[in-house]
Amino acid sequence: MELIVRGLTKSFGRRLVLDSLDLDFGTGVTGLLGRNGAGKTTLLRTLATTLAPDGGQVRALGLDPADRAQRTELRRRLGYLPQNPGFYPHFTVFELVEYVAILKELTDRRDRHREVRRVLAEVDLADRARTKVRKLSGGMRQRLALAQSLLGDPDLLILDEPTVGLDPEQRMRFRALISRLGENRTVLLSTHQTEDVAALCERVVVMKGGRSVFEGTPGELAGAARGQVWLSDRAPDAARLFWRTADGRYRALGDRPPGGVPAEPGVEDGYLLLLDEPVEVTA
Amino acid sequence: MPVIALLRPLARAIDWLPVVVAAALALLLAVVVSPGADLEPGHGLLLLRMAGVLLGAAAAFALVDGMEASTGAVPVPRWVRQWARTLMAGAAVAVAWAATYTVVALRVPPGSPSLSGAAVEAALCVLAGLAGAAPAVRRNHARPAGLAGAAVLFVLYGATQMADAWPVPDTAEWDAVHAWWLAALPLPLLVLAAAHRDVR
Amino acid sequence: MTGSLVLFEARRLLRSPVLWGAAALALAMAVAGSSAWLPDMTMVTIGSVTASTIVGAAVLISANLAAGRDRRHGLPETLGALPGRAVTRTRAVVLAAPVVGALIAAVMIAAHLGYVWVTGPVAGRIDVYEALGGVALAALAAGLGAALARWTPWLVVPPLLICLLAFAVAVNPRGEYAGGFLPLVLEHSLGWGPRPSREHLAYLVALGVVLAAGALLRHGLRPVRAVVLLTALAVAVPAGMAATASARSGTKLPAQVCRAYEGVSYCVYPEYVAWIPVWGRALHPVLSAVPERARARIPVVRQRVASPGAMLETDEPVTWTVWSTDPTLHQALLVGQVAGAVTGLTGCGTGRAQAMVALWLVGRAGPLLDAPPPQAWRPHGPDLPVSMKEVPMGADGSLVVPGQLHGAQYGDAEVGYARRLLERPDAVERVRAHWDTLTAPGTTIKQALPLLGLREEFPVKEEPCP
Repeated sequence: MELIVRGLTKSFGRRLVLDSLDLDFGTGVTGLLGRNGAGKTTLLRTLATTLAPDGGQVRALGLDPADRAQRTELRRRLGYLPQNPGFYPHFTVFELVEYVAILKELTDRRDRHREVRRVLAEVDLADRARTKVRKLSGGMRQRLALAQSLLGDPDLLILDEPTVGLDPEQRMRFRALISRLGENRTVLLSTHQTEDVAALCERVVVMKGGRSVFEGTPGELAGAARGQVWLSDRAPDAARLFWRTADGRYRALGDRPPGGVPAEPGVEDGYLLLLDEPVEVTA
Repeated sequence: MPVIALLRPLARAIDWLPVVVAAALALLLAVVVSPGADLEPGHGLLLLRMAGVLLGAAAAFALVDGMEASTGAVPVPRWVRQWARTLMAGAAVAVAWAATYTVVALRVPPGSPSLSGAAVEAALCVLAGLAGAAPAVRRNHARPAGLAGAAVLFVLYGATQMADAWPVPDTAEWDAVHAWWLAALPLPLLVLAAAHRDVR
Repeated sequence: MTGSLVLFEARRLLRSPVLWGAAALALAMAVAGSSAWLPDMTMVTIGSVTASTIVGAAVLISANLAAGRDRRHGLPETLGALPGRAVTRTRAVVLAAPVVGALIAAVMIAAHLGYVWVTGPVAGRIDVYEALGGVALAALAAGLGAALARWTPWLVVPPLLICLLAFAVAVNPRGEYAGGFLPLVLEHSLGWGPRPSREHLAYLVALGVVLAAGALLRHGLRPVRAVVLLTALAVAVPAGMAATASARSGTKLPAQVCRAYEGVSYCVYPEYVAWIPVWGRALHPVLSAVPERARARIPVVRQRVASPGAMLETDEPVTWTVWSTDPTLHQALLVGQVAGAVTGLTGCGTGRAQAMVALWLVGRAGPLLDAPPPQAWRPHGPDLPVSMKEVPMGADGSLVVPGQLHGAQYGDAEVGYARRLLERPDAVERVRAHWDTLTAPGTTIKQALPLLGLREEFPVKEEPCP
């Protein structure tokens, strides 16, 4: 396994955010799902070595981040996109990525410039290299942040909500890029987009209250909802969750509503049932 | 060597405007106070002290790093970046203070007591400003965190006023008190060392 | 909407640990500053207002952050689509921040004045307008902070401006150069006459309105804003000029009143009668050791406006309009003067029993220091060693007097025998019994020693005084 987590615990004040978490991540793309405050970002920050856990152990790429020397070595092989990346607005796109490249110890100027151009091309920003960051749109800034995380062709890629602000075309490009990267390295991403998980993750972890409540493939997550997803013509009374769909019918999760017919479950159904919170949603 | 390569982008990343404004203000005052006449040594001393506080408050803004979140997981440690910022800002304000001192020294009447002892006060003010902001920018990456330097400086200024820590030249206290200022210099350096550590 | 927003901003500011922390620091500074002196409420009020500028500085920065908040953290996008416009947010800050700032400054100033009043004994009077000036200053700072936030995008400007204002005040502490236009004037002396606190308060309030209107003008020139600004300016400028003109216009000092305390007459300015018992207690160790008839030798103790030459110009023992709580300063000077007067010592005391007895009296009231070196008795520069501390005289500089007997010369022998006398339990009886002999100008120390039960121990200098 490329990434092993054992008994990971983290609190902020009296709030327990990670609760004795045990997880294993291998090569491929793993998606992290969970409500706001479930502990996803805290887990990713801990794995990205920017946050020290209160307890437990992490082993990433065979290295122990608790050890200073091994942490530095891990950082050389790690790409990280934080949830709220920062920018220097007066830098050009190229300068900003080059700055991070220097921090990633790409000391040879020619190699560094080649690498900067490569990652900018990966996120379709090559033609914006001379543009000031302040002039970029929100989606472009997100791609710029993604570009810096790809520097040095990292063995471990940790992405916190990478698809926020991307237009549909860029999202598709992102999926293609990540699925390609996931062929020979570990990619861990958190998202609220279940369709992204379904489209590109080989594995999914659902977190709730600082614990993992599901680990498996997207198909298994969807399968967990089998027999609990229904379509009906009338608003159900006893469903755990239901919403009106575009064709005017109701999609209900939980017990079969009167007149309900079974429907094919998706990742979103499995995820919502796992969270187990009665909600009414109207589309 | 990454540190050398870092200097140029870091120098560009630093918000120099506060230092430039503070330096211009200090120099301008040194030139325009009592125009056309010699500068009273007492006023010169006040000017140098104010320049120290001004430049310390301004230098603190150099530590604010808008990309702190994105650069937390890189192999070049945080302390390298933050110390590089500290040294660059410190050097810039040292030049600005020295320029102010030169103007003041040229304008006080010949034979006036030397005000060079105020340099240690200015050094401590600048370091205190930086040390005040360093823990704040560690937790908060937005620009208002830089104000913590000014806040700490104002508190220290008030506290040292109570302790009669601002002597006048040609008195027994001048050297004695400045010996204490000199002895206090490592304290902000220790705070800086602690605050510039890696975030984990 | 403005009302709700004003309350929202006010609640936020009232909960600010920065503002209350600044108030606590200001109060600590004010208490520390005033605890070194007997409380003259005129000066205490000025000290309190000076300390309250810390609150003003914190209010300036807090109001600046509050007014500029909508330009940071991506809020412009969020707020841009709301019906409440930027001017509403500015208005809320310029209405809430001055009130909260003034309130916190008022609490701080009132707490300090109340504390000093309770601990007493208080002289002088609280100048309500002066105190309100400190309150207005905090409100003005709020207006300034808001105006800066609206007119400049740089967060560094408020602290730089605070430094600049502090410099302007420090470089002109007596307000000699357009002092009425300064935020405050640091120094005062009874001899300068009453401060123009009423005019200065009007100036501060009007200037606060100018700044608040200036903040709102950033959102466009509107008739009401322009009229308010011009009206406030029309008040601020003449008020500042009036405050400048009235400052140090000179005054006739009030007639002194005289009171007796333990047989000694004290003539003081009417507002300082409360300090007479303090002086009386300071002199008790001296007066209780001398015969009743000797007290008649003591001239009236007269209060002077603190100034460096006051004591040396008169043979009367002097008290001042400033009085340190450190017994080694003003109190030691007074004790030395009275000890010299009661023993009839004038000029030089070397080798004379009068000096020895006077030093013994001084030693009964406080620490008896070693004799100053010979060069201390000559006209001295500031770096010459003297055995008396430099005694601060408030705004009027300080006084350095060699020795402990009003400048009368003495040496190691006089101090040595006085210390021996202090060690004797029967000293008071012996001194009283031989008082006339001991205080006769011609009695030498050698002649006095047998009368006091002391043996020859220290070499007495025979050379005459210069």
